[in-house]
Amino acid sequence: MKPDRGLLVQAALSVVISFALALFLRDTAGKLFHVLSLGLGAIILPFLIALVLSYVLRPAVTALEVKGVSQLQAIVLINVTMIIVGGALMILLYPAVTNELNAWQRDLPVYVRTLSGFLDGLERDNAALTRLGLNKELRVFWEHNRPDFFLLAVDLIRVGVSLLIFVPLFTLFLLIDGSRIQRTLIQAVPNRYFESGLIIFYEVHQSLGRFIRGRLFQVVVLFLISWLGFYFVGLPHAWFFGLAVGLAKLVPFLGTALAGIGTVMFAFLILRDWFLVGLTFSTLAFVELIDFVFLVPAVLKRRYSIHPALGMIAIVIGGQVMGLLGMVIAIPVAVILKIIAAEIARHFRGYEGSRHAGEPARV
Amino acid sequence: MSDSFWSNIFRSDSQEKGLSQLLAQVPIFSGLKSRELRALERIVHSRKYRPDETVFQKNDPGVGMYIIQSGSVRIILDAPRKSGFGGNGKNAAKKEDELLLVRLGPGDFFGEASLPDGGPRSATAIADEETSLIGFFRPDLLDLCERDRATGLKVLWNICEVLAVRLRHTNAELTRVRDAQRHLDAKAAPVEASPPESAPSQKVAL
Repeated sequence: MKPDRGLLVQAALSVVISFALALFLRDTAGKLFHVLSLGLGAIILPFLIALVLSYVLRPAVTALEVKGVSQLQAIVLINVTMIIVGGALMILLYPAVTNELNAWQRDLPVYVRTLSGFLDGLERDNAALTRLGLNKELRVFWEHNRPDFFLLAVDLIRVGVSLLIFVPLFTLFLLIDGSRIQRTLIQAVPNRYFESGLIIFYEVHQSLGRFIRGRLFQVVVLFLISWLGFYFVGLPHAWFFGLAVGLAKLVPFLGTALAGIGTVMFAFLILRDWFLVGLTFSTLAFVELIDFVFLVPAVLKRRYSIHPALGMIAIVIGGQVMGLLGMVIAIPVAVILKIIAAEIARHFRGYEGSRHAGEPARV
Repeated sequence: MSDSFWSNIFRSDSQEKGLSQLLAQVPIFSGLKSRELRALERIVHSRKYRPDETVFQKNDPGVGMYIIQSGSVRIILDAPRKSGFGGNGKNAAKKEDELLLVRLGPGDFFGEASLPDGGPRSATAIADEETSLIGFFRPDLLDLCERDRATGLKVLWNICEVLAVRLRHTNAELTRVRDAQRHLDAKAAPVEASPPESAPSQKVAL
């Protein structure tokens, strides 16, 4: 089959732009991000959450507008609802969260002792493992990093209160002025690139919205399924591991693998029952099946996804540049770069090469 | 003869007017209430062009339409394409190389055919002088249809009407051209059928 030249140009452009950006980011943006995260940490997190929420809530605002409610009324109504629901959830979840933290405070030393005992047994039987000194490293690490769940709870309350104040404010601002900000940015594009810039802005906005909503839906559904599965298996801290499996989808491939391996290892160490370990593994396999067969095709359209190999490269680059956050935002950034590269390639090869006869127009 | 596709066959008296009034006189926005026109004002894009600056080039992917607020725009064919991303920019082509289709002034609009399908531009648009344009683009139309379906439907209906009228005009012109071609063919046929041996140089070339 003759290779699609347009696709090759697009892939080559994506790779070149990604690497150039990564090289630039590694030296400058990494430090900049570190400074920003130190100085504006309290602002960046609520702003990022508000940005995500603005994409999640935008369809609800549109739905109310279609019903005849003015845009401002719709935004205020949705924001007030969000504050009420968010506050109610915090109040309702507070006892469950404190119970869970207490349970971790009580159980974690036991889990560490169990893991240490297991490693000790392995090292006794295997001289090579003894030389690796995993058990010793674990004990040293535990001594130096033993978490204080009381302090963690205080931190959670502080962050929660700050989020409850700032997130609705930022969300309100982004919902009301989001399109105006976008238009101001577009206005700044020179005439020469204006039409292309407009399409890129529109496509990025649309794809980010669909991507964020799709990913959140995926995380919530996978969290609920795995939580229920682990609960019925009898895995301690079922909701914590369910949440880990759900959130792991934010870092495709790597996150999923780590969450899966971690959960199965935990089940093996704590449950000490091959049948229950098998059930835990089956739950994870079922979750992956649901994700692969139903969720991925439904929520992440092909146009807004990237090739797994490119995804892995993006995650590695993101991890190198910004750590965990970089890994989480790697895929959306890669999708945005793909859109920009596709638009540049479309303009370089002209209209004729961009569409086949009878194919519907893009935008 | 004016170009049916590009010239403003919907032209009415147009002077410098407010944006809302300017939009109201464009057939695509006719029949919109003042509330809807005000909403539209917030959607459209205002752009300024220098003399001889290209608005868009032939075969560029079409994104939407422009309304001339002030200044003038010439619609041409056969302008050599400038290299570079986007294809827009200060046009270096000589004006004598251009085939002028039409010159448009304040209140006129162009490029609306790309609103429904984002198809390729069929001609090049270049600002003649300092020109202010109001752009209404496909993403804005899609957004309007999503958020305010009644207004979106009116605009879509108007686009259909404008394109139908343009099509009818183009069809009438095509028929006229075909008739003229047939007439010329008929005149040329006897000459070709019996070329006088004594005068071969009189053969008509078409």
